[in-house]
Amino acid sequence: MLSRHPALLLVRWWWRLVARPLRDHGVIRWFLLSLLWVELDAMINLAEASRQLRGAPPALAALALGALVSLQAISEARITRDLILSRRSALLRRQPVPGWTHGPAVAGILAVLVAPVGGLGLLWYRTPTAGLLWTGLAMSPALLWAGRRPLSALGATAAAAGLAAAAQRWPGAMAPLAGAIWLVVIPGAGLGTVAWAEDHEALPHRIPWRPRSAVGALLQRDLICLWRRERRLVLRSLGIASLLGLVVAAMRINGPTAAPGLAVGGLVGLSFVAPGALSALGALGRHLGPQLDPPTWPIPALHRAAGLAVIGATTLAPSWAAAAVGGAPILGPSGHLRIAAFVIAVSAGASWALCARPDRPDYGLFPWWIALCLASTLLHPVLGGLGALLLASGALWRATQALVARRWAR
Amino acid sequence: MSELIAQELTYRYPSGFTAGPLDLELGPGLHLLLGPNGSGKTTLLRCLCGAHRRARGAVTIDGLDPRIDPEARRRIALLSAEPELPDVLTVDEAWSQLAAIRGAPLWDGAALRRALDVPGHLPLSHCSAGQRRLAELLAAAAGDPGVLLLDEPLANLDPGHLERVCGLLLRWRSDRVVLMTSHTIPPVPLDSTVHLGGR
Repeated sequence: MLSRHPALLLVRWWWRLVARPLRDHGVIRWFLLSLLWVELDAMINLAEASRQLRGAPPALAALALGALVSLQAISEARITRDLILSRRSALLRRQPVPGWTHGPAVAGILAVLVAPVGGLGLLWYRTPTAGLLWTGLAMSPALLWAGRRPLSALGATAAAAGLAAAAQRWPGAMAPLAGAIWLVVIPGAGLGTVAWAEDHEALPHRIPWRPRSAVGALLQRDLICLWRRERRLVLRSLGIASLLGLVVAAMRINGPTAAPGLAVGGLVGLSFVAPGALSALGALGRHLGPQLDPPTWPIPALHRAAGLAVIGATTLAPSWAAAAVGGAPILGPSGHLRIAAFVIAVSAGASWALCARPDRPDYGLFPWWIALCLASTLLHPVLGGLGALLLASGALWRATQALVARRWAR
Repeated sequence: MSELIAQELTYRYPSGFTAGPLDLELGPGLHLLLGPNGSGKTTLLRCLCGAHRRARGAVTIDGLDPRIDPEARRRIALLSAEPELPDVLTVDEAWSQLAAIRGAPLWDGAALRRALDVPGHLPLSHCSAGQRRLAELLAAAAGDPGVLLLDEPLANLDPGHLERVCGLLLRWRSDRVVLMTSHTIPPVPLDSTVHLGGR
């Protein structure tokens, strides 16, 4: 009754669950890899290249495998997580069977995902055993990266690199090494998947701070939602901010740029980041749905609209801070006031766009709003700032009106 | 002591059907809104707390209209039949935020959470149906609103938690208006029953 063994039943269940996304993800990659292989074969003498690579020092093999495994694991972490560790497979992970019985299925999925590494192992040694060995070595780091365990993943990558070096040093040990790796990796993948899910699904979130006012509670809710559901967006804004800081610093160091010039540079840079404010608010509207502004809350619409503008401004704040650091000390208070007026106007506009259409903000019109705010702040250091604040007031008023209309419409 | 009054409360659906009219004058106690499926119990509860626009009639909570007055909305809370809290929050975050929103940021929900036996750090997305119900009940009670509208509060509960919630309802009946809906007669003594006809 081997066909009734839990491991085989699980393989079938897992396959039904992941076959379609795996195929969608894999077909194009396999096609491209095959194409690459054919191109390489036409361009270079693969046998000669392999002979040279086999003669390379073990450290080179370790370095190559380590880099490949890291690249593969990081770039594919999302799809790996989606296929193996997401809620899609929670029902399977909860089954009352030993964790290792998930091993064959999980290892099979991982093997398909990390196969390019195995393909390069095959290219290196021109033996299927090497392909098997490199595939096996790449599986644990891939699973650990997907499970957001970077330190363990780095450890596993280092271990894999060490084993690759050993295989390079003693080619005769490659077959037993590959066998041993697969013997460990198959049950390990199942055990790791179940253990990760048990840890993760009971992961406690502490209250970051206890809100002391209604507006504070709303801000906390919105920030938590952004951080837990749209972390990439937040991290991306940090990455762009560092770039902007570098640009402003380069302007300050390389050119005879005075404070107004730096402020203009910062403003133009910020205008490229500004669409992120509406992206963040749009994501908030998508995730919170009707809970974005329930009519039963005793919160004035103006407070809600202003709170949303503050959330929009938080996405621009890192860029502003980076420009401040890059432009210090030349940028000065007047430059910061101009940037502040721009940030307030853009954020208020983003709040208006969301309040007008919470389910589908108008992303097409928003760049025009940014251009208007930019033109206003570039026009004149003082009058332009006042103009931007006037724009912000108008946008907040419209946002409040839109919220009131939505509350009354239900 | 809070008071909930509704006169000729009627809601008109976009399709033209109407729910109501509902007349009630409730003081502190445990009250049951009884009616067949589709009679508009949930809709009328939403009208009572100001979430839906009524077609006709009036609603006051301590003399204030919840549709217009934020203070009235601060004194009333609705436990919806469907989960409404955002999944991204934990149980503790949900009640602490609702308490702050209702103007009682220092409200201690931990004792009530322990009484209901719900883990505070549990993300709402990981709650079972029963735990989710209890978490939503806890959030509805946050800030001690004087009027509680509970739509099917006993659904999805195991016998142990059912007993806990019934004990809580009995405690609340002394100092606040609790209006609940149920398809069955709940195992707690009721102060009044409001019957609602079908559409």
